[in-house]
Amino acid sequence: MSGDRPSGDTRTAAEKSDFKRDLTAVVPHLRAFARGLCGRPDLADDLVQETMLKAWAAQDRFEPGTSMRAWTFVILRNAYLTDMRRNRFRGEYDEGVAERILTAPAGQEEPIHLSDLHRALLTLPAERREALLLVGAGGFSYEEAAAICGCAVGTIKSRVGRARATLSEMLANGSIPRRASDDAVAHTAILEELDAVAGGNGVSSRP
Amino acid sequence: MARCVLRLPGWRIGLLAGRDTGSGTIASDMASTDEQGGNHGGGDQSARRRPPEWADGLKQLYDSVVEEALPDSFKDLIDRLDAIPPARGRDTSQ
Repeated sequence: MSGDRPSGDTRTAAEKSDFKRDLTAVVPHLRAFARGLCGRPDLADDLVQETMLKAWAAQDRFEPGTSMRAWTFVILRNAYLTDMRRNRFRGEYDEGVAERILTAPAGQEEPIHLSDLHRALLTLPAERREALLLVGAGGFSYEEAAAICGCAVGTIKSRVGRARATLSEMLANGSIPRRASDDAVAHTAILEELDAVAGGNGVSSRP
Repeated sequence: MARCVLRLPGWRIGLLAGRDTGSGTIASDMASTDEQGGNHGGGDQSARRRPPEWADGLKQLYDSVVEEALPDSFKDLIDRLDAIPPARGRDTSQ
């Protein structure tokens, strides 16, 4: 209740309150994005909590009026890439959880199992996976996704296109890696691309 | 989710309403994505003909998590945020 802010803390109580409300509102989306990125729900939630703390700590740099979801996705993405470097995620996949949300599209003879889809998604190179998640699942425009990933719009379009083609082929042919041992191969590929992906990061979105 | 941000002060409404569209634009995004897939993906024709099932599955994966009840650990963290000085970010994020 004090008007005195700690040194370096430039936000008013009202601004903090607004920020906290907006941050809280995007948590479900952060969880969904993280789940898609790293597969395991427990690790994904750890990632989201890490993201929330980083976002809170960096709230001075959030521009009111811009998208909290996009801003926090950048932070989550960077935290994910950092954790990937530390070898925390190894393309792990929680089969049990995915089976519970397995669905069969109405009228389909051969349903696409969400567990297959999720596993196939996890085999994609990180940059294509995140592009597809942002546009295809998160509903971001290509422009927004490009800002989040710090790359050109055309690059995002290309990544989404390639991700879709790869997934379609995997699902059509049934050539989806089954277990973690296969995922390790994908993980290696992901790590190889990591440096390039991480090169375009930063909390502030680029134009 | 979009409704939550619309409670912001009036001068922010236009920007946020246009940007945080939630699930409303997914269908159209996926439709245009399909075009891109055909142009950039190259190769497998079946890939062009059968995106709808798994494209919808991708949204289901995402939405199923969005719609989950928030675990208590998140509520606890949100409650604790006020006690954490934001200025700490200058050290941790640079």
